[in-house]
Amino acid sequence: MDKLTALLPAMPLLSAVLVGLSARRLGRSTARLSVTFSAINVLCFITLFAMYFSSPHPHWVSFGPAWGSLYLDPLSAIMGLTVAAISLAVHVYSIRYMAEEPGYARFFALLDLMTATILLMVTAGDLITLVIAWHLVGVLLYFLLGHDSQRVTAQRYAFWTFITYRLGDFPLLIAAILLYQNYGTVSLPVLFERITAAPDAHAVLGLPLTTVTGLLIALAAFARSAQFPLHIWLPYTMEGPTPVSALMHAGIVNAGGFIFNRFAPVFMHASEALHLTCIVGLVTAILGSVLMLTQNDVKKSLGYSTMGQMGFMFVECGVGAFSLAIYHLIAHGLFKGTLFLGAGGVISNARKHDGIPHDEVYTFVVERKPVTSRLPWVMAAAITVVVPLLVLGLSHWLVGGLLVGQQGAIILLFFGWVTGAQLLFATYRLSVESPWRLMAMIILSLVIVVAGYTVIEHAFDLLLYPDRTMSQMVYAAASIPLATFEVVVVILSLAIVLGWLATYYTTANGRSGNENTSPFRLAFYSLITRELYVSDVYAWIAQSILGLSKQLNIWSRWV
Amino acid sequence: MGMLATAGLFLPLFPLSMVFNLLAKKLHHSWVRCSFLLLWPHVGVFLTSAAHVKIPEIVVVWAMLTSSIYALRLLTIRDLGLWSAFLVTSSSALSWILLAHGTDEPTVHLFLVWTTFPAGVLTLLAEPLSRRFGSSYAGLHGGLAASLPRLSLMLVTTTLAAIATPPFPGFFALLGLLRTSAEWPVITLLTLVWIIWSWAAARMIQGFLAGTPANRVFNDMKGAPVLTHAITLGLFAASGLYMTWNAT
Repeated sequence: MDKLTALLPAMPLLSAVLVGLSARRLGRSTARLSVTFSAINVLCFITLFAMYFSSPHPHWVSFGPAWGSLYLDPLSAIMGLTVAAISLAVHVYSIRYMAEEPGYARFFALLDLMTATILLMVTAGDLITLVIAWHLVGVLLYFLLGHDSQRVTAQRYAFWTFITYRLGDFPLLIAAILLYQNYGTVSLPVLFERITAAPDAHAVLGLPLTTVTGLLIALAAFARSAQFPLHIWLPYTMEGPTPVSALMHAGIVNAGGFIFNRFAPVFMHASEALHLTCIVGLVTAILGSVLMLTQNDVKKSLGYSTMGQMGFMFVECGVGAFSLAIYHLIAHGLFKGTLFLGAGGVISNARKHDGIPHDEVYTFVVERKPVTSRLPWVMAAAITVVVPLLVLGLSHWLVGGLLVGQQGAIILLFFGWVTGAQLLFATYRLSVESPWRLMAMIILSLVIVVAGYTVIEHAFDLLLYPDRTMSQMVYAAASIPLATFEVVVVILSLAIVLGWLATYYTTANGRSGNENTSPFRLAFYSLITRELYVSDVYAWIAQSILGLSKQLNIWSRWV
Repeated sequence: MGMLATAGLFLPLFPLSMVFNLLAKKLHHSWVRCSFLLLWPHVGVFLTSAAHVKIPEIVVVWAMLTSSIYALRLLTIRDLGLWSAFLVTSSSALSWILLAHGTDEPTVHLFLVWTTFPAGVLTLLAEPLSRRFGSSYAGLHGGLAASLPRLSLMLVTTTLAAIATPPFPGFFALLGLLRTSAEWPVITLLTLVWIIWSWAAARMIQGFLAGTPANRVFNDMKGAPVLTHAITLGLFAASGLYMTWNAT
């Protein structure tokens, strides 16, 4: 089993070397070589996965006395299998997609190196290996995104990504050094044991070490997963090759969720870091969704969609639902990867025939024809507000049983509630012959989705955190004082209920508000369409630094 | 103290560092320039050790400022030879931190080798660029990735090694330095310097590699120099991995 574990990152690395060496001799066949290695790697992971769960004890494999070790636990097994599978899909897709591009073999070698690095990151057994892999992901992504060296925009945005990732590398590096200096080991299992045994034994700058390192790790994750205000690189990385976008949105950008789970024993004692993460995630989720809605470029819109998803993933981490974040990142990775890889085919087909059936949805969404029959608005509003809450609440209660004790679960219920209500509201606005039937079907779908989601999430929690104490401690660390929490819950509940009532009332009385073009609305719209001027601010800062650099060189006569 | 001040000329402290960079600029032969860049800072370590004095804290602050200033100035340097010299100035100034913490002399020499060696190799790469284009200026003749892929690969890997990217030894050297310097201001400034190196390197790489290649056909590097370069960097990386792998 240890040998098989070592093979996981070694296999794509070997593939990269072979592709590089045989590029001239094999020509375009190098892609087949790369795909073969990828397929073997997936098989290795499946075997290892099966072996691990037949005897579910974490394995730590060391290759050197100081560093260079791999750690196989449920988290690394699940993440590794996901990464290997997505990488295989991207490899297969790239065979034809990249066929006309120059640097074909280089692309596959880089793709293999990236796979090896991500696998090393998720299976790293010590701090140094983890930091090295974390660091290299950014470097390799820079070269993958800038693969087309003749496209100026691709180069520019590859650089944006690179520098943001570099900014995120250093907090993790400093956190690793602090942990090593204070706990005297780089081995992750030993480190976590020592932290659990004495979480408050050390302090830095007058703060508990776990708080400081928790904040640093969270910062590293913010940069890696495009959290506000370190998000601007993400929507623009579509300039890179589509397979790279797929790999990035499906795997690389999710690394933030992984690092939270990996350092769960630190976050158990870092409430402040979790609260900050929740706030940053919430801001990112809202801004990502708003920015997505106002983009007129489909690819940028997809980019902002990922940003919103990442924000939501961080909210999950911030409320202590770490295993849910892993489930979320896998689900998001799979659907976003599919979207990217399928985008070319969809566009090609749409050019020939749009394929959209001219049904009620089409007439409502595209032709914007007025609605003919609707449910009474008060009844629809009541269903919208009550049904999703009931479905979500009951499913969580049935599975968890500790719903009231977990603030994080309640906060997540709010998101589910709003999403479910949004779906029902969309149904209300549709013009259909039998609105009751449609509403019943939607509710049934909601029940199936929510029940499935809750059960899978619960299974993930049991899988990733078999020690229930740890899971409970993370939830406890993420909690805020009960009185404050109750006030927040009441305010949010009132806001949601009153908001939906107002929305239904306005819609039922034919006032959509679209005709209102107040200066405030216009200013807000322009602010959003300019993406809150964040990239402009960064550009100004960068230009100022470059100007200072040039001035210093002129003053010192370039020596 | 006089010896310490002289050491500031070799382990460059601003403005004495200007002498080092002026001399590097004047040396046109690539091998001579490479040797100069790699050997000059070691003289500073010898002198400091011979002085047998405790390094005052102000010197560490001064060294950090020197490193920061040269990192910042690196951003707008387009000439590869001068870029390498500035990078050596910025990185070798950091060895004052080790000296101030009483690190033994061989370790400081090793730190210098690990952080400056790839920059020295970069000066050697300026020569084939100058031979083909008349100068080794980034941004002047872009598109090398398409027209000269082997030379581009050599340039990229050496630049990555020069800015202490893992698994090259510079990474472990800076990791060790961060561990040694426990003070927050030093850690903050050091990480900032490291980030600026990366920024400057990306600008340099893009200046050479990106863009549309020239219509003229240039011969790429031959197999033998590429192989020599690959073996040199490979051995350099392996030495770092081996030494840190077994470190405690």
